Amino acid sequence: MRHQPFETWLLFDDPLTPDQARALDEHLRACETCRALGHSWRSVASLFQASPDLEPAPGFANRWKARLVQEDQGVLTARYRWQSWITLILIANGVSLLGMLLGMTFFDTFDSLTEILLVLVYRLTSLLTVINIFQNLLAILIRTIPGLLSPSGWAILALIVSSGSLLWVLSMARLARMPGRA
Amino acid sequence: MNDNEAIWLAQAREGEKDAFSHIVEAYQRPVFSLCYRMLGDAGDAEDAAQETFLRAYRHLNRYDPGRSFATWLLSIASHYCIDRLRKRRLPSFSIDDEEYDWWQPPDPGPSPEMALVMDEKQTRIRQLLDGLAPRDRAVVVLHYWYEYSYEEIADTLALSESAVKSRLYRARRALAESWQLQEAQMEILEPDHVERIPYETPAF
Ligand SMILES: [Zn+2]
Repeated sequence: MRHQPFETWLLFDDPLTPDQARALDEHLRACETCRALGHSWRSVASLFQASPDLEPAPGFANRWKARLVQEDQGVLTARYRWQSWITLILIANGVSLLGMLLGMTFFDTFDSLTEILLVLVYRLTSLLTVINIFQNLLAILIRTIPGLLSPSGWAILALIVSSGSLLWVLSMARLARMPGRA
Repeated sequence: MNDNEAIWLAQAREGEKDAFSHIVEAYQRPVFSLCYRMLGDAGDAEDAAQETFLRAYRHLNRYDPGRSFATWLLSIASHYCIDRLRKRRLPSFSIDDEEYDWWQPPDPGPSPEMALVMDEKQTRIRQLLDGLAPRDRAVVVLHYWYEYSYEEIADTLALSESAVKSRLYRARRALAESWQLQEAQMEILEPDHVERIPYETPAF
């Protein structure tokens, strides 16, 4: 069985012409599907019509105001957070800029420092070379001098040098105690 | 909108929260009601209604005083609820509402602290509306509880009038079928509940 246009007529608010109403009436007598559909729809519509507006719990406007304040505070907190982030970024930028400047200055100093180091190393090398030369000379003398005299000769020489030193110390002491001096 | 409301609105535009509180007070009922019909849960409806007023307050400069303020508010509420329903039902939801599964189990219901009378009728309405795609649901709610014309619904939901008509037709059909299913289920649970309806001539 064809249910159109009867379904549409049943479900639309549009008024029907007398011919359409008669045709629908005839169809409904014969068609249980459309009859059930029409009845169901009318039940739904009357259920809707019988149901009034719903109200929120008392204090809705106050709750709204509280929420607005809360949201504004949230926005403010977010702004503060944002501001502190900006401050942090600015500080970080400042620090890195300072670091960069210091680095550049350090690079300049480093240049002259290398020179200083080079000079220092050069001086040190020269000093070590001189010491080394003297060491070598001393070694040669120590190795050659003992061969010049016999051991007894060295003993007599040591005796003469120590007696001379003693004589020098004693004469110096006597001179220091002489009146009219000092 | 009465003179007082126009004054409050003008003051609210200047940033006076208290002035807008009066507007909230005046329109809380239709906005909450729409949100409740759309979302089927008192807690969600409260939240959506609050959000509607917050959005309205923040974007008050977008309101054209030449239009109805109530329509503007309900438009914000409808779009917010449609979005919310779509997010809620995202896993089983297709891009357009066409293939939406129209039978959904009922929600657990509002929290006891919400001062709202939930009788059997409300539960049944909620179950019926739950079966509709979000935008179709908004069309039905605006048509039946706000007595909006096709033109006003089209204006509120940013649809064409013919789209409103076809959505309303589709929704009525789905509602009628949903009703039949409810009756059939009740008949199984309580066989005496459903009275056999004799043939009636539709009243036009
Ligand atoms: Zn039929």
